[in-house]
Order: sequence, then structure tokens, then C-alpha cells
Amino acid sequence: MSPLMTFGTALSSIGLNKLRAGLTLLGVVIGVSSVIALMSIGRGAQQQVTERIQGLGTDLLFVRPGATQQGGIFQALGSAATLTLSDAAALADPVYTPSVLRTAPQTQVGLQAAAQGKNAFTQALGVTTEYMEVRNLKLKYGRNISPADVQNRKEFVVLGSRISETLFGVRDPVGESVRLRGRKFMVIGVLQSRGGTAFGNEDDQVLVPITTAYYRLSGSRTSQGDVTVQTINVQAASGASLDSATAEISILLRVRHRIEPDAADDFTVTSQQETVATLNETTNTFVVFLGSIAGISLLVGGIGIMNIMLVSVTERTREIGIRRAVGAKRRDVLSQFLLEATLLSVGGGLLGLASGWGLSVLINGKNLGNQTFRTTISGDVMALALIVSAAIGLFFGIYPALRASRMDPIVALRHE
Amino acid sequence: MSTPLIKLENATRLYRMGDTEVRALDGADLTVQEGEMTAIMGPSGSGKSSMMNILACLDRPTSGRYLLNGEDVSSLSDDRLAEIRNLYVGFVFQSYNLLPRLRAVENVELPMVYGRDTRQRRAAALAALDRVGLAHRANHRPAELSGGEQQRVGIARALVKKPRLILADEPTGNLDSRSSEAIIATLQSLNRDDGITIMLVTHELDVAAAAKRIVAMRDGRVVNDERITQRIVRPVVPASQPLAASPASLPGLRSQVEGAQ
Repeated sequence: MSPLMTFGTALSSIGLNKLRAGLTLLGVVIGVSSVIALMSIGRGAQQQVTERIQGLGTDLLFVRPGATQQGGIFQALGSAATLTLSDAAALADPVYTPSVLRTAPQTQVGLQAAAQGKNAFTQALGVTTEYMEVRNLKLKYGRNISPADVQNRKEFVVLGSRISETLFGVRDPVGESVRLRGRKFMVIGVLQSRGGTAFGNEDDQVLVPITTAYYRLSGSRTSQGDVTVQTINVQAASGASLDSATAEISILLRVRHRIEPDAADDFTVTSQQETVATLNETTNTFVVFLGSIAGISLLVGGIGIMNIMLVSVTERTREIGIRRAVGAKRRDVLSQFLLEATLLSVGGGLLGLASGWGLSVLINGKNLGNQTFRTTISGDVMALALIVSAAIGLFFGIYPALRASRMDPIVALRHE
Repeated sequence: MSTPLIKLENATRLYRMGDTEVRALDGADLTVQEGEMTAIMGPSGSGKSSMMNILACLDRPTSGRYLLNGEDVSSLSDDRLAEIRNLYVGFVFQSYNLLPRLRAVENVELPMVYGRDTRQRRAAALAALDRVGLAHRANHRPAELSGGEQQRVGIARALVKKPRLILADEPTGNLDSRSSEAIIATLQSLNRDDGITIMLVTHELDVAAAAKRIVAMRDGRVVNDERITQRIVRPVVPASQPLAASPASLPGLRSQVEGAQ
């Protein structure tokens, strides 16, 4: 039997019972469209995070304290308090580190911010004047934290756009006061919105002078009495000088921390790219996870196909007998039923592709809770969904088709 | 004498039903020359259908040999049997066995779909329908045709590949007498004018009388084999009358012809 004939026969057999075929198709449609929609959401989140980080600049390095060691066991990275404000200042010195453009040390403390009877949980970042430059932040109202504010431990605060809205509504709050850890801080500026990601929202943060954060909001000091910092953001002179900057930073910090030549660093230097790569790994897991949940529904759709094909084989026993009697070989019957199952699943796959696409476009830009969905429809996901749906048709079609092809023609002809 | 078209040698066919064994064929012998028209008669359970299934290459004998045109087909593969069915054998069923969703002409085309003849399919199917006098009903579906017309479509399907052998298992069993006559006349004409060897199973004596030879079966064996040399040529005997001159003495045969249903 020619492939074209087989195709026509399969198609007309499906057309014979349109409602049933439609319902079977629906199972696959739902499966495929949910795979595509969920993976688009995952991919969208991934891309958003990546873009956000890369939007900061490709010339960034992050210096963090190394892990502390307690009884030979390494604690989490950054748990040691080895980096100080003067380390940050030294790293910005062009004599030792010519590849470094500027540095911005940062500490972070979670706390409650309250103003005018409203309050919100927030991350207070202790920063210096350079932070906004390095992280590419822009002001909406007021001014940045000045070196003098840092010097004098001023109780000034620059609000993220969302927390500003939460506490003061849409008006300009510069000059108002906010209570952080029971202290009155004066609002000197508000940042422009940057939007949230699946991994936190910068608009929910507030900036305070790093010295203020250290002395007034938290409270741990090194033995030298210097201000310790959690991260030093380093902006390299250019994207190309990242490697030399990393080398210079390591040498300088080892000298400053008096590390023996054969001892390990008590700090780590990671680049923007590395952070993106790490994050991508995490989000990939997330995307695959979403995809597999949706994949389960695709599997259920496949079982639906198998079910309907089994019914169809039983119903058409006599037809099988007739076809065999006039000369159909087993493989003719096999391919006819297999093709039917595959047509169902691929048809469902194509429809699911369309509806998944539509769903992704529809979701894109919609708000849910405090998250803005962004979806990215990628070719590989669509190709995967189609291939998987075809494979599911083949896989779940093979058993009914085998059953059809193994029927004894005489028994099949006698079937009522 | 040339090679017989059909030579069944000591064929047995066992069916296993749970613990019991049923001997549907028990050492049946039969030789049919090309161009014969043979009727097979016998009570139910005598092995007629089992023998027809084997002759049609739908089934293989459990033991014994079946030589079709000199070739031993009792040990051929399933695929090869399908090919033989497709090329050399046409089968006409009691219940017509047409595919209800296909038009008459498409039903007739069905055997060609499974062969190598992809060209001229439609033309051959129409010619076959014309041969049975149904060209004007080519585009009707089985449900729109009378029983007799459906059976003629069935015959057209059997002859579309120009087989050497047409096997008909009670082809008139579901038909009234007038339709039966037309069907038998068609089969006779195929035998006489086209030289196709025809074997038909029937319970009706007047149908059997249309053949040139009557084979009687009982208990899985051929018990009588008679050539009708100069006897009744249809439609001399009306279907409603008892067949006085029929071989009523054949064991197991009904002595009365069933009237129109």
C-alpha cells in the first residue's frame, strides 16, 4: 500500500468519528499547549534575570568574603567577615589596580521600614556614593548619598520606587522621614523603577550610607574596628580588562590580608558572566521542572490516544478482516493504525502549538501578584513539543496497531 | 492432464477450544481443474467453511498439503499468503463484507490498494462494476444499495484483479430468490465467459445445480463428488419448487429448497 493511500485511509478513519477524534485531540492539545506556555514562562523569567544582570554591565566583578572554617567544615561563602571599607578604598587605587575603574562596597540588612502609619519589609543596602554609578541606578527624585553622608554616618535614606509608593503613595517623599530599626531617617531621594525579577525586586530596596548601616542598623566589627562589608562591587575599566582586574584584586587583597603564599584566599572574585551562568543553571532546572509538570499532561493525552485506538481496533475488527482477506499484509494494517494514532497526536501537537503560543502571548506582560510575567517563545521548545507529541502517538499507538495486525483474518471476518 | 488449479491432499484442520480439540477438517481430498465451477454442500459443521478458508489462503491446514496451481502454499509465510490472496483469489462473502463508509467503486478498488497496481485503479474498478451490471451505482455507499446490489459489488471486488479463482461462501444465503438468481447467473457467466474457476458453498440445491460439479462434505471429509454433465441449466427449475431431479440422496443435504425469504 502506498504511503499516500495509507495517509488518506487513516485520515478518513479519523474523520469517521469527529467528536471522539476531537476529544482525543484535546488531550494532546492541552498537554502540548501547557508545555509550551509553562516553558515560555520559565524561559521568559530566565531571560529577564539574565538581561537584568547583564544590564548592570558586563564589566562588573563581585568580591565577597571567603567561607569561614569551623572545625574543618567550610561554612557558606561570604560568611566570613574579612572584607572592609578600606579594602574597597584600596581596590579603587589606580596604583595597585590599574584595571579597576571604581568600587562600591555594600552591606545588607533586612528590616521593617515605617512611615505615616504604614510599614513594609525591606532590604536596607549600606552603600557609598559610587553604588548608583556601578549598578547603573537612576534617581527619580532628590539626590544620591554623598561622600560626606558616608563620612558623617548621616541617617539619610534613598528609597526604591516601590517601597516609596507603599509608604508615601505617588508623591515626592523627599524631606519626609522613615523609621528604620526605630531610628528616624530622612528621605533624600527616590530611585527610578527597574522592575522585579523572579529573584527579588530592586524596587523594594532602600539605600543608606554604608557607615550608617554598619553602626546604626547592624553591628559587627573586625578586630581592627574597621567597617566590614558583604560585597565589594568592582567596575573594571572595560569588559576586556576583567581578567587583569581579577588578578590585581587577588594580589592586593592577599597582601592586605597577610595571606601566606601557600594558604587559600579568604575572599572570592566572581564576574558578572559567572553569576549569569550560575543563575542560568538554577533557572534551567526551574524551566525543566515546569516543562516536566506539563509533560505529565501530555502523557495523559497519549494514554487517551491509546485508549481510543484500542476501541477503534475493536470496533473495526471486521474491516481489518476484510482488508486482510483482499490482500493486506500485517504491516499494512499496522501502519494504517499507527499512522492514525500519529496523525491524532501530531494534529493535537500542532493545535497545541498554536494555542500554547497564543497563551504565551496573552500572558506576556500580565501581572500576577507582584510579578510581571514575561514569556519567551523559543523555537527549540516548539520543536521539542512537536517531536514529543509525535513520539507519544507512535509509542501509544504501537500496542493497538500491533493488536490489529496480529488478528487472525478468519476470526476478524466473523466478528459481529 | 495439466496441473490442477487446486489440489488438497489429506488436509486436516484442528481448532483448540479450551481443552477440547475440534477436527474441522479430517483428511479432506479435493482436486479442481482450472475452469471448473464447483458447488460444495454439506450440513453445518461439516467443514465447508474451514476448507474454503484454506482454499482462499486465509488459513493453513494443520496437516496435509494444499497445492495451488502446483505450488505448496500450506507452509508459506503470512505475507506471501496475503500476496496470493491479493493476486490469485477473489472471495465473496455471505454477508457481503463491504466497508460501509466507502462508495461502491472504492470498495471494489480495495484489493488494488494492496497490490502494485496503483495506476488504472479507478478504471479497473469501474470495469468490474460494469461487468456485474452496477456501473450506474458506482458512487453509492453500501447502505444505499439493496442486498443483491451489495453482493454484486462484492463480486466486482472479487474479480477486479482478474483472479484465477473465485471462492464464494454462501453468496446467496442472505438474498431473496430473484437476487440469488442474478448472482448465480453472474458467477456462471464469469466461469463460462472469463474462464474463472469458481467454487461456492451453498445450502440451496438449485444454486448448487448451477455448478458443473457438486462436492458433498460431512465430518470434515469429502464424501461425494458428482459431475453434472447434462443436467438442469438454470433457470429451468423455479426456486419455489422442490428439486425432484436433484441429487437428494447425497448424505446430509436438505431435500427441500428453501423458498424466498
